Amino acid sequence: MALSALDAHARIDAGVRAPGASALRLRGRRWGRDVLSWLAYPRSPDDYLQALNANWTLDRVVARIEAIQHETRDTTSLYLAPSGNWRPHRAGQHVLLTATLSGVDHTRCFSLSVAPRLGAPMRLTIKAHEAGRLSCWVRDTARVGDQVQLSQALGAFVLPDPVPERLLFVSGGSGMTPLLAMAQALVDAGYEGSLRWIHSERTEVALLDEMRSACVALGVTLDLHRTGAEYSSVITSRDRGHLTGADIAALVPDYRERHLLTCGPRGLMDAARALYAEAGLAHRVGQEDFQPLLSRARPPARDGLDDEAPQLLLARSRRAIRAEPGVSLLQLAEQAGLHPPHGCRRGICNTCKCTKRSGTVLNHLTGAESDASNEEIRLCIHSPITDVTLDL
Amino acid sequence: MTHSDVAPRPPTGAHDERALAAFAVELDDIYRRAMSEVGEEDARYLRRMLRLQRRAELAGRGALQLGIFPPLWLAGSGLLCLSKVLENMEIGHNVLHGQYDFMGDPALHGARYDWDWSCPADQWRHSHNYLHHTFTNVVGRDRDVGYGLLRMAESQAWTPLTLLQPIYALGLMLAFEAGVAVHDLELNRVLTGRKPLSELRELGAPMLRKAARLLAKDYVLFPLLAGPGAPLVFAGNVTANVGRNVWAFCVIFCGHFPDDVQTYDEDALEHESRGAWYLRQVGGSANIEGPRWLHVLSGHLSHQIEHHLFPDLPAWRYPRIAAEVREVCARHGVEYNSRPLHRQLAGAWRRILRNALPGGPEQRAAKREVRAARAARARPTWTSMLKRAA
Repeated sequence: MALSALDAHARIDAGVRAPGASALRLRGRRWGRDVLSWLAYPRSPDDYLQALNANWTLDRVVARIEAIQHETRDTTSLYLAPSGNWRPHRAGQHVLLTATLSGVDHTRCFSLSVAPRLGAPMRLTIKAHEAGRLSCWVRDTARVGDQVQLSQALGAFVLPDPVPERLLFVSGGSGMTPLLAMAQALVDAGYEGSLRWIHSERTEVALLDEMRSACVALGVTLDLHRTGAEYSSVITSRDRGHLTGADIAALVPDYRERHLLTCGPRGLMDAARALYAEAGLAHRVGQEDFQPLLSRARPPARDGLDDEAPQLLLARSRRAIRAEPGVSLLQLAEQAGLHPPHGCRRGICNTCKCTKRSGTVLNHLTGAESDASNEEIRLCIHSPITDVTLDL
Repeated sequence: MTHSDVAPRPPTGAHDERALAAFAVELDDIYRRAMSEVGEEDARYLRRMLRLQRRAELAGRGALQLGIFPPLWLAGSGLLCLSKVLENMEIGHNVLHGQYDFMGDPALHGARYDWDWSCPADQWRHSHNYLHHTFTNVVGRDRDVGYGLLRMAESQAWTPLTLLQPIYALGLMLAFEAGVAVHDLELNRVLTGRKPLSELRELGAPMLRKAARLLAKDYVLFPLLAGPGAPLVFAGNVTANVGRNVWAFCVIFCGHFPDDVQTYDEDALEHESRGAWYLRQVGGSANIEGPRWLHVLSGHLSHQIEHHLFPDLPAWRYPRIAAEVREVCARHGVEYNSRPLHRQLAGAWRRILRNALPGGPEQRAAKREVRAARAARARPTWTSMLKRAA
């Protein structure tokens, strides 16, 4: 799975490194940071800086919304001006965006939809989901000048190094976001290899112009597939459900020579991955998964257990709640009225880590089950198989 | 003004169980209504407090660096003391109760926050959030009744050393930070051989590590920064810390030790209904009357009754619900203990002095009453988790 080999800090690509940074200066900066930490203990220096001015930070990255662009009816681009401690990202990476809505912080993951370019603003292109508080806020309520918090760029979904001669992008819906960043990075680097890009979309395609111009600049083909909508200005169109592995093989006969990078709905990515796995090429696949991890998950049926759903017991709060299939421990705890600390809600940031006193849980990232007692687990990616007791 | 502090159990009988249940229903209703309003206003209040506290600290420490000028030294010590008081009481204590967990900010989550004095937050969460709030004023279970140092209830043991407890109390007042830091270590049980020394290590080590860093910060690093002005910074930091200690001691001792506040014995916990739990929280707590600045500086522990009824309600809301709580108590015939600061403080000191002397006839009479009530008891169960969890 894409998230198993995490590279939490972006490498600074040559050409976008801050000029003049020397080893000596970095060491001096680190020493200064240590002294400040001692003086601020148990708080962090940022706590005091932020009390003076919301824009002053050392570790935390804050960003101001510079512009808002409504790309389609439900997709919005946010142009952000981050604070000086933002490290340039690698094309394909994502960030954790935190915004305060009515006093409550909400944090979600979004891919950067631009390549890292010196002086260019960073951009997130966000599709609003029905129940998504943050994505709906971006579409409806966010204003230029609002301040948000960001993590540094995260993720291992980047162009391989060295970039392969032949590439295949398979995207669907908002999965085009990181791939667009990668395509722009390829343009910037003067990529001369062969790229095929297959994109499938149910509704309007956001940033279609940019996708097309990147493809034109690279001299490559963008295959656009409609699943259930009618549009005229497409290169090719096919009106059916999501693409299957066979479709991809038919569209790209030389797929075995191409390195696959895929991001989009689960069914599409699974199809593309399976195609490569069958050909014994699973090592040539990179993917990024942005849908709620548990929507497909059902605890496996077990002999000896009755049909009643397991219970989640919260030891310190003395509450109990019945589990539902596909609902994570984090969501169950929230349904029970708690507010456990959380961040990305998808297994990356470790903020929701909590001790499971007993019970068997399913890890939705790895598919593994664990029945160890007194085990620290990430609540957002685990769901109960048997009755589970948490130290919450 | 009663001196007997072993509370007689409320009389049995379905009528009184119903009355207790009705008492609980009304208080639960106040809680639900208040909690439903918690949101943006509370977040803004806390952020305002955080900004005020941190700016005061920066200004205070900055002024102390220039402490060669007496007005700056005075202002610096005062501002630093104010910032420490706000951090410990209005911010730290309340955040640690989980009152602001709803904000979703991991830095302000009750399970994660660490406050700015030597007591490690984990140990406070155990000894205060759990032990003190569950077993409030139950002698033998709530260590806050005397802190293992002072005899604050007649039912606690008296030894000749107890005669000196006014001096211990004064010492605790000046070094309150240290007293709170070692609270969970149960040193008195170690000294009397009831707890092995080896068990101290697990809690003692993190406490000493934290204390060392804070002592280094206040008494080494900041003075060093001032160069020749080091002694003045040192003196200013001592003053600020002692000032915070004295204020915190006074507020906390006014919470459970003034006149007419009850202590309870372990039987109170047996089959305690929700209404009886509420009753013990009200009976074991006392409020301080005063102006708004007193409430803020006390971290709203001036509303100890409301705090003990609803520990996870953001504390700044306690004055809003106080009138209603008081009225419910009046209707149910429950005493609501609320007096100005000087009177509650005098009552607390009277208790310290009184209990420095061995217990008298009231104690014996009270014990007889308790034994009689225990014999006639049968209670409906609210939950036996108090016993299980202990």
